[in-house]
This record gives sequence, C-alpha cells and structure tokens, in this order.
Amino acid sequence: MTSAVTSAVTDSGSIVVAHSGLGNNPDLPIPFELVVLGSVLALAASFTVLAVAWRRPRYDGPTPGTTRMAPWRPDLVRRVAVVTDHPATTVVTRLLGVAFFAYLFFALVAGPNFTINPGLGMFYVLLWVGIVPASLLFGRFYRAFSPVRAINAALARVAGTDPEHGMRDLPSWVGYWPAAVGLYAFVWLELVSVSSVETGSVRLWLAAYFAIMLIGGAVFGNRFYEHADPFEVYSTLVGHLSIWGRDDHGTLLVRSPLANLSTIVPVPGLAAVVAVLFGSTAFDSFRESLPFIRFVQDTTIDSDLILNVTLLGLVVLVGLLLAAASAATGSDAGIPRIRMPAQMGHSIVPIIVGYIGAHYLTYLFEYGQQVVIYMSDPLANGSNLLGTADLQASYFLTDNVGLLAFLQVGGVVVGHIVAAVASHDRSLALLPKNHQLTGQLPMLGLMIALTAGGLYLLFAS
Amino acid sequence: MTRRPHRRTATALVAGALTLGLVACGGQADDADDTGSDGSSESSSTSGGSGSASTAPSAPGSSDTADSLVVDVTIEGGEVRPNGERLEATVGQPIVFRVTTDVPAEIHGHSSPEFTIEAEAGTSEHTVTIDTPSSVDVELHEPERLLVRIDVRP
Repeated sequence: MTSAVTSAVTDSGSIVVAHSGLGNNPDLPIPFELVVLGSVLALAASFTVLAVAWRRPRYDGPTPGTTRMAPWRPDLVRRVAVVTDHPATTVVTRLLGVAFFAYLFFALVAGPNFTINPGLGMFYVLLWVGIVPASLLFGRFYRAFSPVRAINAALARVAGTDPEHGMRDLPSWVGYWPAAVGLYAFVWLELVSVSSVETGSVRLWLAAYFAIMLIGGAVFGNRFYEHADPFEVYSTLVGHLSIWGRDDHGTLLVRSPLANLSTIVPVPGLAAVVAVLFGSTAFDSFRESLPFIRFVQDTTIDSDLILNVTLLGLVVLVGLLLAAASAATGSDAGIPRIRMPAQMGHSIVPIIVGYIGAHYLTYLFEYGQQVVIYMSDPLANGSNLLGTADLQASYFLTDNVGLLAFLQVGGVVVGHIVAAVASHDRSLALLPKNHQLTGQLPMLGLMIALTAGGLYLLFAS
Repeated sequence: MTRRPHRRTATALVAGALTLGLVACGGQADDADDTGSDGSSESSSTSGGSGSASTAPSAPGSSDTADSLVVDVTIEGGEVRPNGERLEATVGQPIVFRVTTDVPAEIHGHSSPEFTIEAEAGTSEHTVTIDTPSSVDVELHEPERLLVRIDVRP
C-alpha cells in the first residue's frame, strides 16, 4: 500500500507552484495571428449583426424572459417528454447524482490526501467543468441530478410535505445573489485557497454546501435551489444555450438556443453571477501568465493577498463594466437603469461558455480521463473497482496543437457572435426607438473587450 | 427584406470560419513524427563543489546533430535565476540544465511524465528530452519558484 502511494505521488507530482490547481499543465499558447484573427472576426461579426440584422425583436417575447419563437414539432417532443418526465426517470437521475456525490465523499474521507485522490478530480473536473458540456447537451442538467434536491424530496416525502414549497416564500429581491456568493466561494477555493487540493478543505466546503442547501430547501422549498445552488444556477444558465426548454407550465420544448437564451429570467444578481463566472476564468488564465508569476515571485507582498485582491478585482471589474455598458442607454420600456444589467446579463452567457470551453477543453478531456482512471482506486491500494485503472489517457488534443488552437479560438468567436445577436435582440425590445443602434454600442464594446481579452489571455498564458 | 441580410451574415461567418481553419492548419502542417520513445528522459553529470562546468553525455535516444537548449540556473544566497522566463524547444531536443547552486536543489519539470533533477551544491549539468508537445513548467522546490516555462512544439 505504501509503495503504491509513493509511486503515484511521484508520477502526478504533488508539488505545484504556478498552477496550484489540479494536474493542469498550461496549454501551449495559441498563435498570435489567431488571436488577431479571432478578435477581428468578433469585431466584424458584431457590426454585421448591428448593421444588417433584423430591426424588430426576433427572439424576445413581450416581456423579458419570454420568447416569441415557436417551439419545434411539439407533437414529437411530447413523446420525448413521456420518457424524460417519467417519475422513474426522475428517480434514476437523482439516484445517479446521489451515487456520484457518495463516491466523491467516500474518496475524500477514506482516500489519501494527495492529488491522485479521485474525489478531488470528481469535484473540480468532472462536476465543475463537466457542468458546461452536460448542460449544453441536456439543458438543466444539474437540476435533474442534484443530490440536495434528492435529499430534500426524500425528507419531504417522509414528513408528508411538498418539496416545492417550504415554510416561507423566497423574497424576489434575493434573485441570484446567493448563487453569486456560492460561485465565488467555489472559485475562491479552487483558484486562491492554498489548500485547494487538500481533501480536508474540499470536505469542509461540501459540508457547508450541503448544510446551507438542506436548510434553505427546508425553509424556502425548491425555489431556493433555483436561485441559491451555485451548481444548479450555473447549469441552468448554460442549459439555456441547449435546444431544450420549458414553457410556463413546465412542458418540455425544443427550440433554437437563441430563443432559449432570451428566456433567462432577468432576476437581481444575474449580472453578478455572470461577473463571477467570467472574472474567475480570466483570473485563472491571468495567474498562470508569466508576467504575473514573475511579479508574485519578485515582490515581497504576501502572495495570498495578491491572489485574493486580483480575483476580487477582476470579478468586480467585469461586473462594473457590464453594469456601465448595459445602463448607459436608458430604456423607454419602463425599466429603471439600475435593473438594466440583469436585463442584459443573459447575453454574456454565450461569451462565458465560449471562453470557459476554450480555457478548460484540454483540462476536461485529458485530466478528466485521468480522473476516471483514478476513480477505480479511491484508496490508492492498487484496486480496480470500476475496471478503468489500467486505461491509458488519450492526449489527442495536446498532440494536435493546431486543431486545439482552432477549437479554442472558434469556441470564443462563436460564443461572441451568439452573444452579439442576443444583445441586439434584447436592445431592440428595450431601447427607445431613436437610440436603438447607437444605444447598443456600449454593450458591443464590452463584448469585444471581453472576447479580445479572453483571446489575449489564451495567447499569453 | 428579412432573408437577404441573414444570408449575408451567414456568408460572412462561413468565410471567417474558413480563414480560421486555414490559419490553424498552417500552424499544424509539419506534424512531428514520434521518435518512438515516449515520455522524457534525463541524464546528468556532476562536478563536485569546484564550480567548473562539465560536459553532459548526450542524452540516450536523442540525435547528436540536434542543437541543445541550454538553461542556466543559479541559486546563490537565496537568489534564484531565472525568474519565470519563456523558452522554446522542439520535441526530442536535448535540454541542458546547467545548475550552479550553493545548496542542494531539487527541480521538477511538469511534462508528462514529469522529470526531477537533484542537483548537488556546485555546478552540474542535467540533460532532459521531452517527447510530447506541451508547455512545461520547470520549478524549483524549496523555495518553490517557477524557473522557466518551455513551450515544447512538435
């Protein structure tokens, strides 16, 4: 047993300085000409959308958070819904979610405190990064698999109460603010905390997560999870870029991702969630960049302080820029400027997905395989519980750096174009008639800045 | 009225995607054929505390004609050089770490698989080859510092 641990530790290297996360070698920087080309494409696409696209809202419904786009073949989709909405399906997905977290907990409690502990990889890679592709494919993925919803439903069944409603109603001003705080707590643990890859810290974080979620669910019912569970809110936002939607009655629909995107309800705190997601990913690139590392290594200022200030600073900067750009033009639809950031927040989601996809592509694909291999041996005693212990990870993307760079820049540019279209559509619905084109310029400028900044960080990492 | 602008947008996007594809493929054109040995290999030679450099024997598996990349590392009185510099190398190219230190030093390279260099006090040379393309962070252990990041290209 001891020898297995020792050799594994030497293999995976427990000493990490620059990249204090889990097993992520930096990607080769993307070529500079691709950065320029991607930025130029984003710029051109933005003004093409502005100049030649439709002049009346195409996706936005009569009120923000609704769409005028008709769903695709409701008769066919209804048959799909018979399977997806069947009580047995709900039970199966929830059991899978509970099993995933139970295994994760088991590894974190009983396994070694090293980076080869699969609990760490399941938490940071499969869960956190995996949420994005899973939600793009299946819609509100985490909601279906959520272990806290499962426990809440089980408790409600025992107590004979309705899990949808708790003792009180969640006040509407709360919005997504609790999720923004929860997401910040997650990215802080992953990117700033010195003990991010200690099993004890992750156990503590998860214990707090479960405690808050179960109490919140008991008090406010399932609406609490829609607004406060960081994983569910993240997954639901990304899921709005899938083809799967729901109408007001909860009926399953298939429609254009752009129509789905416009149904993100503009609740308070949406802009904050968006700022945390984009700001933290930018921070992850930035802290791995050589100028930043040189600064941290040369200065006498405490590096914990630098990291904390930088993460908070980037998140606040993105939030302030979004607030300023979206509130720069007043609406004549009776929406005060202070509520404009939430109205426009949905349009930043595609930029986030494109950039996060580019940033974490090799991490999820390559280190994700490694985690699946580790999962067979949670106690590091040479066992092969899932039959994956002897598999070899494929490094296809790293071996094909040209393809990787193309996918990265392509993802960022596609995300930007979808974002520009969504912002254009919402602006048409909200902005006064005589400011409909010029009034879009601040948001357009912000999007170009985020896209070019993201590409530059991929280049400079 | 509504159809034409969409087609124009679509045309612009397709043209953009094609350009992107061409540039990306250009960068990938000469894909290195694998040398057969996987992973990285390391060989080192040390010359006591005298301070004079000795020549490292050429790394096993690497060709003698390939130019090697020399990385000078100095650790003197807590002062560590280089400080997070970026270097370029190619797959299979011998990388020589010429370490001058007043204390025993341990250096880690985050290639896959990883490599470790144990340098005694004095000057010593350690040759490493890396056989998978990636950005490799080479870090000093105690104090933990990034020395160089080597972009190993095919």
